[in-house]
Amino acid sequence: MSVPPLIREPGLALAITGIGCIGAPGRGVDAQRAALSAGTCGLRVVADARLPLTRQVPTGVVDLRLPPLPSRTSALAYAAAQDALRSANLAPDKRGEVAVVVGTCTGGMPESEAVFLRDGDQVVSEIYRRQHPHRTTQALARLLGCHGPQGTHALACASAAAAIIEAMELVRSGACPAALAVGADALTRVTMAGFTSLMLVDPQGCRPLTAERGGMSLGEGAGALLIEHPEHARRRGARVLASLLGWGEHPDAHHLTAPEPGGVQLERAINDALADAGVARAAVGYVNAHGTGTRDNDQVETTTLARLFGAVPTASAKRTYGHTMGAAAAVEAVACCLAIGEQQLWASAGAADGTPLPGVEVLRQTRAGALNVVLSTTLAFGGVNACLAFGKGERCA
Amino acid sequence: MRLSRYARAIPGHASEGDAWPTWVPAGARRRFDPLTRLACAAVDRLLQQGGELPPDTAVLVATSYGAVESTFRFAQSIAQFGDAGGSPTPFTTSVHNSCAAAIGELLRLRGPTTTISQGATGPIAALRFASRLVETGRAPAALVLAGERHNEWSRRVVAELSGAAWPIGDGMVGCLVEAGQGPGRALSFRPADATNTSVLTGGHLSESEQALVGGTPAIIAAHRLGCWWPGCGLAGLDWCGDGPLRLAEAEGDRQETLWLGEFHRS
Repeated sequence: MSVPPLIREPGLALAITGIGCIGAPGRGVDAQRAALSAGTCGLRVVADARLPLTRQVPTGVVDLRLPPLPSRTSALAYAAAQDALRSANLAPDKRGEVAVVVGTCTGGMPESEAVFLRDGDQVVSEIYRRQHPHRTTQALARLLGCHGPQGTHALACASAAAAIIEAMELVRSGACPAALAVGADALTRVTMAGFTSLMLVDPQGCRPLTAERGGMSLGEGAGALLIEHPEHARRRGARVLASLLGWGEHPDAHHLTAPEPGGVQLERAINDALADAGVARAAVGYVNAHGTGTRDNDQVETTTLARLFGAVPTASAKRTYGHTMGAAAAVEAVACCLAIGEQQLWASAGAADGTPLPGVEVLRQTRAGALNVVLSTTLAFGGVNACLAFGKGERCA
Repeated sequence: MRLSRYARAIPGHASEGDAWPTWVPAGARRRFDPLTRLACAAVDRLLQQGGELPPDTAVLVATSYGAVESTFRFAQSIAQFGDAGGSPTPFTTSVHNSCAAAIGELLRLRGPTTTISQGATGPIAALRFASRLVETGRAPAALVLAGERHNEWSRRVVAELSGAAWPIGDGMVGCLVEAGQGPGRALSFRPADATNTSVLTGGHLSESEQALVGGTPAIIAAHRLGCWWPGCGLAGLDWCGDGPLRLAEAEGDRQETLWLGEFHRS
């Protein structure tokens, strides 16, 4: 397979030295590894009084005690970020220059919508202060002692991808030696009702990348990565879990909610990520697809991936976590780091019980494999297509 | 790196309002959130300054509250018809990046895009990211839109909770970031050499923060506008003369600064 044309010189590969994740499978790396390895379905029908639709359709709810922060999104973000910094072994007194870049769709909406829907629009509640997405970023920076640049991205379901991209560029540009990139979103009535109104929710629970798929399932959670300049990581003797090699992002400019059927901009995003990483298509051993389980998303993604890579091993984590919206790219970045660190190609949960889509190899079971480069794709409202490329830790060690 | 074009749209201001540009189709006008309408007006003025934008121009929007009217309408539809009876149209336009997506779709812009939501410092953060995208060749230019458009509900909520010294207003600033020599103002995120740099701010700086930027006259855009919105400091850009400027904005305990060189005409 030919090497795609480089758009420019490859960018600097960055060291991922800390990861943290919380979602339907639980909190911490061990819980994620166990769920990803087994291809566990993390979706459940629950009676969550805050979210009436959770009684009707399965969701990826986090049923854990969370840190006591004013908004659920901030609490999820803090849990993942704490774990990432702990795994990076970055002491509190060494975090002063670390940037904090957060991606979130909903911020403190769970708390605000509860007040709005209970009390109506005439009551001004102090709780509305929690709604703003940037409150999460500010809380993380303050609580974790990270006083570098801040960024808060609200790019729909690609919010965390945008946060990771900006974090990469802050480190590459020399604005900071390390950046904490976090994606976090809590389930809200508005998002559940919204996707229900669009008739995009599968009442049986999502079955991504299969012919039987009938829509998405929502979830909540957070993922966090500590992204370091390789020299900074080397100087402090950090263990490099994986490398962040490159990124690409191009919107379709086609439709607010529907992907462009030809996947032209998705292909460009993937090619840009490969060029930024300085790797050939043939080096890609595994793709974590966005794979929401909707008809259009999965069709465009598998067709585009097949066109570029042939039968590349591909999986979606959406049946394991639910679609965690603004957190998805960060949660799944953690899955990619684990895949490359442990040389495991994670199963696409639900694929074993259905008919995998053609073109790519939808992974029905987890298997070991020699992985050098892993890609993660993200599609979002607004026609956003993003791609992140991950490599082995040795690249930066 | 330079700000090569600059325009603003402020509802209710003569010659700066938010009339629909001719390039926005009638069907889209019905569908778009009022925030997007305001952005279209600012972009229209930018286009009048130098023509169409390159196809891979990046689109970055800085807005704190986003398409709040759509979010409000969708929440009301849930309140009225239940969680399974929400109205899909306001939901789709309620996503925070719907404004950036609409501008990109209308102008067929396919460079990297994001929407930044971090209060008064959002526009500076957006310009920082835009500069990086252009500097690294990710986009030939970056369109940065910074602004807010409240509805009656959010205006009341923000006014009551923010304790702002000025009425809560609406407005949108549009800037084009490009590389190389040409008209506009040089853009820098490191301290500029210029010693006689005037300080421009939206007006959200506290007294202690005002003291931090002291020594040079502060230009407070909210004074001139008679209202405040996050990042409205940029709206004061062409009220400052042609000399070098320092844009300073604060959000919470954090202050962000951007240096802008002298204005150069072509």
